[in-house]
Amino acid sequence: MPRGLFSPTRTLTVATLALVVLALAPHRTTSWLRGIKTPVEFVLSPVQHPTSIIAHFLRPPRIHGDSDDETIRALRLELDRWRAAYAETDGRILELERLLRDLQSGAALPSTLDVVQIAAPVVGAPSDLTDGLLRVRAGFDRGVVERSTVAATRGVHLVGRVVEATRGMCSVLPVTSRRAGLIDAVVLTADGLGPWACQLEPAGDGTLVGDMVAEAQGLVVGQVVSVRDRAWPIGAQGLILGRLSAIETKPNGRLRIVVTPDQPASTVGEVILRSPRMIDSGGSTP
Amino acid sequence: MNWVVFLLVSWVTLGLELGLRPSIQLGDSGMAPSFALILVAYIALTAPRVTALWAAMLIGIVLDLTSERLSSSGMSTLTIVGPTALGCMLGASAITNLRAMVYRRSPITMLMLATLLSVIVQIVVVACLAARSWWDPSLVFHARPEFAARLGSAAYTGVAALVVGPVLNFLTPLFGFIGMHQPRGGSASRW
Repeated sequence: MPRGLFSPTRTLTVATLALVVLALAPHRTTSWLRGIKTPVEFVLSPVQHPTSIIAHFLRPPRIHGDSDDETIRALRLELDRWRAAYAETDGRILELERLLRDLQSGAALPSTLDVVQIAAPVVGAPSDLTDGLLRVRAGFDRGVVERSTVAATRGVHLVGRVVEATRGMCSVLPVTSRRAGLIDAVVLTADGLGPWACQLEPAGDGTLVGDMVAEAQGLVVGQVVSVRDRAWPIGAQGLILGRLSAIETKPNGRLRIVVTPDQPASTVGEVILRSPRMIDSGGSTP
Repeated sequence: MNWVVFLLVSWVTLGLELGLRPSIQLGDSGMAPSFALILVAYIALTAPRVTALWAAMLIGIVLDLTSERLSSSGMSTLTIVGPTALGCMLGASAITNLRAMVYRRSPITMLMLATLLSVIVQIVVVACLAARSWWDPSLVFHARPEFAARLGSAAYTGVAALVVGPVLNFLTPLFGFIGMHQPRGGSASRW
């Protein structure tokens, strides 16, 4: 064997060439790299997790419009839970009516879905913050399902959707991230005329903006906006997106709203993951 | 260089980076300092050239593995290994060429070199991802807005180096660098 074949400089050159290939190769040829990621994260987690706990302790979550009074905070949270439950039930009634029509027309009903909730800490973010992803310490081993599991704070405030799940860890794309896309929602009004539908998109500054349906009326700043989007998992239906922080009338007479989440995604320290759980027609869970 | 100490310091630095970055980013801009890049700048300033390049590559690979990008569908993530590692190596190489002209113990040196290294890393990352996005349909990449945020992160990294740099200088004896380098025609105290 010639001397210097495995010299540090030569090995470095070969490693650099390999990195160039990996950096430019299409994803379908490099998807195996995800397998290396899990052990690397496992090794880093003993430092990463305590650090994120300390960071959340030093910089507690900012909750918009929250009161210093413990009783008022508790009442407000309770009110939000009832609002989310109302929005979910209202959406469920519409869904059941649609289902009833499907059944009457002969469509089969193979199964239905329930939601299981998993509490998990947010342990930081990927080293690249571009997409605003959050890393949460719960993976497919705890029932997290990619694209079907959603994350919420305080049980009722939607944070985002799980876009990747490995053993012990998952990534959540916040609903306010620029890449999150459009989401259908309803504004819950106090006058009983609503709820009014709207379609929201991330503004890029942590808020959501969108137009109301033409007949919407009675909107007031501070009203709650809930998810009602069939493209989102069942666990997200009825969850609170935020509150109306601005309402303006467009030249065509339609109302344009700005929705601000109660808690910015970057300050969330713990989430409730809501995963679907299949229930067979007999009602038992597998 | 004592590789055990390097691996331990890297482990702590990378763990701190992943745990702290969301909390210390500027609003929701995605601009946050990178402690790992400060470590790369420090190693490049102090270690022999080939050692510094290996260390830079290792840290870069871990940064790539812990990085995630949304796919074009927005419903899954991509792990792309290479861009940050190559950027770290190029940045470390630039610092090893410049280090004879700087005073290592000055905090300003760490600020300047950490910023320089971060800018080089971000340029390489943006170039690699932009090139890859031409033929990889799973990757959507908008170079201009992303580069602006990445330059902000590079400046922020430089500022953070004012704090992290002295800590790393304090650990220098543990790395086993002392007396390793003698600048040409100069005294060891310059390093």
